[in-house]
Amino acid sequence: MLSCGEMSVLERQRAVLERLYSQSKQQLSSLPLQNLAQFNNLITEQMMGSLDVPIDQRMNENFTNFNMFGREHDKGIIGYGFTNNWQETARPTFSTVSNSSITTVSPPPEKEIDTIVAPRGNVVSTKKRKAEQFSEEEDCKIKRPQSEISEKSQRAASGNNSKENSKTSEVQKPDYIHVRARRGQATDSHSLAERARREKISKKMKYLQDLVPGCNKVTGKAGMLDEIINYVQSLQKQVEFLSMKLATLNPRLDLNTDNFFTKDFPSYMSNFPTIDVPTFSEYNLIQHQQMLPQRRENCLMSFPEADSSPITVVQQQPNFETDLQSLFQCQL
Amino acid sequence: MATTPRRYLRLSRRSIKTRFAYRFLRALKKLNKQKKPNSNRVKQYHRVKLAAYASMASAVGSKRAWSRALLWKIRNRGLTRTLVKKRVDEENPREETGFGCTNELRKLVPGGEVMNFYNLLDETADYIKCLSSQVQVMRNILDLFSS
Repeated sequence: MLSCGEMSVLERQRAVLERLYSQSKQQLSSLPLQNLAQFNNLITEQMMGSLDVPIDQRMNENFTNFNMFGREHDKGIIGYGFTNNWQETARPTFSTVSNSSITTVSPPPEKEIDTIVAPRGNVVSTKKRKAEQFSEEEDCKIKRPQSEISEKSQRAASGNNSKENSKTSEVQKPDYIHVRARRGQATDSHSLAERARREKISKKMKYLQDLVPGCNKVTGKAGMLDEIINYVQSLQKQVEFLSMKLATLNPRLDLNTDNFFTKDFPSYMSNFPTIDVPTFSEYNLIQHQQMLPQRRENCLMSFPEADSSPITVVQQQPNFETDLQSLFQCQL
Repeated sequence: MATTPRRYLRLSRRSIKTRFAYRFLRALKKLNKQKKPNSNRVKQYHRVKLAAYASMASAVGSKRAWSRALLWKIRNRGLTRTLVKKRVDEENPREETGFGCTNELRKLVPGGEVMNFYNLLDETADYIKCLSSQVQVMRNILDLFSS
């Protein structure tokens, strides 16, 4: 056992279980059938009658530590040998054996109980069910068939299964963090949904934190909300201020808007970090708006400021035309 | 030759800024055309502000709750004007608790009164993005006009 220290924990457990299984099988085969039946009755009576409650309690106490104990196989083996000796020496009075094996404080409780009381279908099944309930409470992901026990041939396999399940539940942990309940947390669907919702909200808050400048230093939800509110308010005030300025400029805006789409817009667009060129419909819009100024400027020709715009219109028109044609080719 | 317009199309459809700029400039032009002789500066300012908000909301489209609410508010502003005046009178100074903060945020984001908290945060993020781009575009326009 010590020689295979480099194997993984699961493999080691499996090896140990196989060994235990073979040993117990030998024992059981060595037992005569009548003895076995008597033994069955005795143990079932004892277990169902008096010892059911303490076992369950101890199971509850120790199950959570089971994984930790499962790695210490030396202890498990020693414990097993110990109980084996007890079985060999005091086989006629089996009830005492079961009593002592349970009352002696044994580090890996489930294993011992499995190996000793395994022939009893009903007892084992109750305990297994307990264990299953507990594991379901723990991580509410594992589902096991309940009718797999109660047969000798499947005994070791079921033990293996339970261990593998606990292992896989350990492996699955990172996948289900947002749904899974840790120890001490409630597991009903409402609180699970609530937890998922809170996680979603905190994710969104992080996103907002990146969006709002100066929000990184603030900790706590209320402070962050405060910052967000301030930022939104300041942006809205900026919009109001800018629109006020535009309103004061509006009398002069009359002529400027005429030139705007032809002359100013390219330079104004170049202020953006990303290059944005209008879509097909917006090209149409430009054309439409270019027609209007032209007509307007024809009647406003007397204005000296309007001199520059027709030239630019003439300059810009071919570009737009070709682009439009290519757009048409592209779209139709 | 055929690839470049496609690239432009893809780029421009993505950008809110371009759409907002076109809409806003068109609205400003319209305002200039239908300018009444007796309109004072405050009214003009209100009109420009409304035009800015409306063009922003229509540039975003109806896929966002805040833009839908904003457009609805602007279209039915004759109905809501009295309600808004009433609400301004009752307004309290800001509370320091989280609940008060949330309520304040609900008031700031259009249509936020009826959302749950997650949607409110979602809409707030989008609203902040659009507002900041709006401010940028308007500042650019103002610079170009005033120069």
